[in-house]
Amino acid sequence: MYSESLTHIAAHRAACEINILHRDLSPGNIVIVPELDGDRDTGGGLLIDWDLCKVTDASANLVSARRNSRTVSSTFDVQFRVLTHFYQGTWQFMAAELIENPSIPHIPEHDLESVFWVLLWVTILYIDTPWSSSRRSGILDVMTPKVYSTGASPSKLHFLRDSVALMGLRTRRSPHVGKLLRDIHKVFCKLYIKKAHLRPSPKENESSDADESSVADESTDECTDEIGTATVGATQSGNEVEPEDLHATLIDLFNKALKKEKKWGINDVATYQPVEHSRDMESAAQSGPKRSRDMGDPSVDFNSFPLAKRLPS
Amino acid sequence: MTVVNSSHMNDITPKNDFVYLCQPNCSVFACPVTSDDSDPLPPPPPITGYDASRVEFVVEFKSSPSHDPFVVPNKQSSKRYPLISTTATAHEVVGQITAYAAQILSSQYRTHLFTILICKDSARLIRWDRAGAIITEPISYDNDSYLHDFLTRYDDATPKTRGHDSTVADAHPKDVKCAKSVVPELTKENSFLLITIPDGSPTPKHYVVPRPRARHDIPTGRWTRASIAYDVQRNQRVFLKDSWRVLIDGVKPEGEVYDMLHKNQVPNVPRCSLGRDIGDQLHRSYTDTVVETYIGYNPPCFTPHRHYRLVLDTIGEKLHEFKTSRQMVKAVRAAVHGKCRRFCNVL
Repeated sequence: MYSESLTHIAAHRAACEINILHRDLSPGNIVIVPELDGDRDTGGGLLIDWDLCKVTDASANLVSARRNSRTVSSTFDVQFRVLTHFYQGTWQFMAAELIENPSIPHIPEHDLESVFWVLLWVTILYIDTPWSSSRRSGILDVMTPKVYSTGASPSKLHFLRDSVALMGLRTRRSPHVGKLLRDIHKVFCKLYIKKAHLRPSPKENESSDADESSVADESTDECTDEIGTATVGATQSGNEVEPEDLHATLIDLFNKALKKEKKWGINDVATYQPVEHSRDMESAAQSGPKRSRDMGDPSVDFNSFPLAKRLPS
Repeated sequence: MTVVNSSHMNDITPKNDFVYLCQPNCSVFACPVTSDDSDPLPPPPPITGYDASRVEFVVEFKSSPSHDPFVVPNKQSSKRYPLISTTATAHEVVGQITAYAAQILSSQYRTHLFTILICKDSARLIRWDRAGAIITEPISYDNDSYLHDFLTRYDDATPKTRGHDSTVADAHPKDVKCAKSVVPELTKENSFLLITIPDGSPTPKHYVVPRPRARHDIPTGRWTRASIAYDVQRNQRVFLKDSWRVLIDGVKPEGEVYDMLHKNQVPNVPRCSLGRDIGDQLHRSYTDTVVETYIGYNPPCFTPHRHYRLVLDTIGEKLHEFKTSRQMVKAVRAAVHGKCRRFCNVL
């Protein structure tokens, strides 16, 4: 029932001939649609808001795309990041690595990491878990780095490297959700621990970039031949997850979770889970994903100006 | 024009998301236009409070020259905001006028907006658009005529020059009736606008949308307004996205991206029926083009924007309004499929 149609696979193949980075994945940009549109299988969801995406040449393979993005567009990438994530307020879903080091280019695995943050955000705020409201607030804190603090907040990275960060996150009515989140977290945990070995100090960007890129290039070369034959699960059973396999790994985890029809809540409708903390954070969470923005910058924080007259709360 | 003292007026802006009252010292409204049209729209109601969705511009008064928040950039001024004084009062005043501007720019369809800030005997004119704001040097209004000139010229100016979006008008009751019968989401709205999108054909396309909300947000940026709308031509429910797309190398207009995604059969992306740049040069931000001249460099936050509209024929539900968590997880999986970068062999 959950296997994909041939058309779907063909579409994937076609899609992969173009390199597209969405770069602005957030809960607001994924929408739920009926699973069938006429006789077409929609998969039950759509990815929208492609207005900030980046398309690289259809003939460019990953290696040259990486090289290209490293040399040509890093200024652009930084400019872009300020724009998308600060001004549009979607820092929460941005990959830890990008927050830590704004000068590195956006690559496909960053989009995939955003998928994890999206799923975590929805789960924390809309699914009943044994976690307390302060624990939930803690997660939102991790996800909302302080943009203007000295140096970017490393907490998101710590969260991903911490293998027990999601321990106890059980989704009682639909256990698969919690399991899926913990599994995806595990994947990124391994990935970031591995990256930490490659890059001993985040301060040595120049040299570590070179290291990382050469490693990435090698693995890409290996994987290029595997297009069309890569089997899911193979990457997962091993101890290491190459960035190139990340997409297949994640899809596999989703498929595994969804394949089982048991243990999914029948009517576990989205129910807002209150968070402790400032009113700002709560109202941001309640009014939807696009509304949260870090207000750490005094000149744009017109929310707190006493001259504008506040209504008594 | 009618100038009113709104400093103690109630903020009666409809669909207002602001958590505090906006009460600018003075607000200026356009006089009702007498129309010879055989089928005139009803005249606007009398001014009973401060309504940001109807105001032309606002004037804010400060009693001391020291309240002027703007400075000539110098070695002491902040690197990030070289035009803003570093004092706490300056931040408060900037915050206040920014809030007023944000409320007007969000509750109306505007290409730009003017604000007057008067600090005792000098005045500054501020022009806001989606890239930033341009601030004049202090105008000593007792000696210089600039402020007076601005007011008389504004009075003579066309709505377009004043910053009103000429591609948006009040919706005709006939269209509203059809819209409400076809689009269930519109039945609970009580004020509607008619939005025009040129599509290259002799007849531009029209859509009925609800009046926008006054959003508590900074006035610059893409300012995406997404509404479930009524497509007048096709008599159907569509998703209309009005935004100011960024003009940066490498970022394509969203309509072109959808064309490409569809051409490459990328799954799980919506059907897009129209995507076009809107209007003339007034629908392109202006601040970014002058910033370098005045402050010597062009920081990344002054990004050029171009007014753009997009129509999607597929409409989805919000992810965090799922009926079952299984449905939510499926939607996320579909999105991961949609952004597939390389072939993956699934079950």
